[in-house]
Amino acid sequence: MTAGEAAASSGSELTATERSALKKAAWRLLPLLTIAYLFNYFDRTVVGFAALTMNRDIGLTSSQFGFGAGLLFVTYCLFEIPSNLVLYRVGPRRWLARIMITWGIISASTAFVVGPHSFYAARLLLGAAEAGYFVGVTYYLSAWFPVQVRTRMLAWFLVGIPLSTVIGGPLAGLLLQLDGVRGFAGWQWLFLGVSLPCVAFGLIVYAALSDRPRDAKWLAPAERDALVAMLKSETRERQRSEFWPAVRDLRVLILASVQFCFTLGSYGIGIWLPQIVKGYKFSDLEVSLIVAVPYLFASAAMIVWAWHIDRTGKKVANLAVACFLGAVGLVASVLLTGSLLAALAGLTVALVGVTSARAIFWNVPTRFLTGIGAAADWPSSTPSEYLEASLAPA
Amino acid sequence: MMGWLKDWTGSFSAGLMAMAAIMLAATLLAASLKLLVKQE
Repeated sequence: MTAGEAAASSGSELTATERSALKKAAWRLLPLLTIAYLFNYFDRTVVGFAALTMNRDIGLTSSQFGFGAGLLFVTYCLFEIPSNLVLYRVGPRRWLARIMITWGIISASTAFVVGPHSFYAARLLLGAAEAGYFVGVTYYLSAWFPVQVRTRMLAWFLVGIPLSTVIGGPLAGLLLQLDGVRGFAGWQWLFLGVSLPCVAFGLIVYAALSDRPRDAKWLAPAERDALVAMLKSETRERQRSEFWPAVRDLRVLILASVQFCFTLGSYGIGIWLPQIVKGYKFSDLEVSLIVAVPYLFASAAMIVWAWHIDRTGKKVANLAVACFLGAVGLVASVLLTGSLLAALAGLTVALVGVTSARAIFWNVPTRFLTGIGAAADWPSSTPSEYLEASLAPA
Repeated sequence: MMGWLKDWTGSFSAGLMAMAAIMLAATLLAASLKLLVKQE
């Protein structure tokens, strides 16, 4: 089912005008934002593929590489909340476009790092540029889609994460083959090739999207009014939430810690997997193809698992199971390092766990933040979500 | 993110085990959340 159909099939209580308005909006917003997120995520983890040759070329040790890769998250966290505040001020269209264009340029400039210090600087700047995209998009979607279709819209957006390595891995392998063309090394082509499209996406977002349904010239007037009315009836019901009480709530803190842990696991595997597979003596192209396989399983498992939870509803228990699966898979991959297939199977299980945990996680706050009187019907429309998003970049 | 990556230089095993420990911590936290939510 496509995003448009998902929007359209959201229930018989919708009128034909409302349905066609939702469908148009879904097709307008989601493919573009999801593909951009796919690139966004890949721009953060592509460094793991680049490392196959870059580390040697510019003389990075493993711990320098790991430190630099991690530096991104320092500025990402620092700039997350300021970035969201600006987004409210200038509107999502302009700000999301700004985020995409600057991250594209900075990620591309990583192609010209010459040693550890310029590598660190590029990663710090990249984190600052990317901050706010994820939460910005969830806010943006909440300004467009009424609550009954929002979770599905978010799921389509989140598929960008595991898919980014399924598509990006082989793409990275091919770009690495350009080694030597026009005097650039393969890893330099890699950074340029996966970054510059983001600049184009940013320009398209600026030209093609609108801040609010009210401003959308690509909707018929009747559709525009229908969408505005649907959203208006809903915002009135929403309460304002308090930031500090939400922060002090033990459950919010625990949830934030859980998110921090599985995000770390997800990036840890993402950034190091190419080098782990490389350890089994494969060519760079082979590595990039092999790495895509566990992510293919993870994408499928994430969607099936999310669908299962939609029917059974035990979100917190499933979140624990997903995290446990991540731990078991990692231990198995260490115990089975002798054989590539067995180690890879272990890492696949771990990836299924960490990526599903993320999909499950974004559905959890919905339920119990209502319990503490927070605005609650939508993750990240509440300040406590900013805390979580800031503690661990989604 | 950084502390454990530094141990990485020798082999990947140490780092992978560290991540496994972190995921186990996440499991326990999520399980404790389950208990808290039940109490309400």
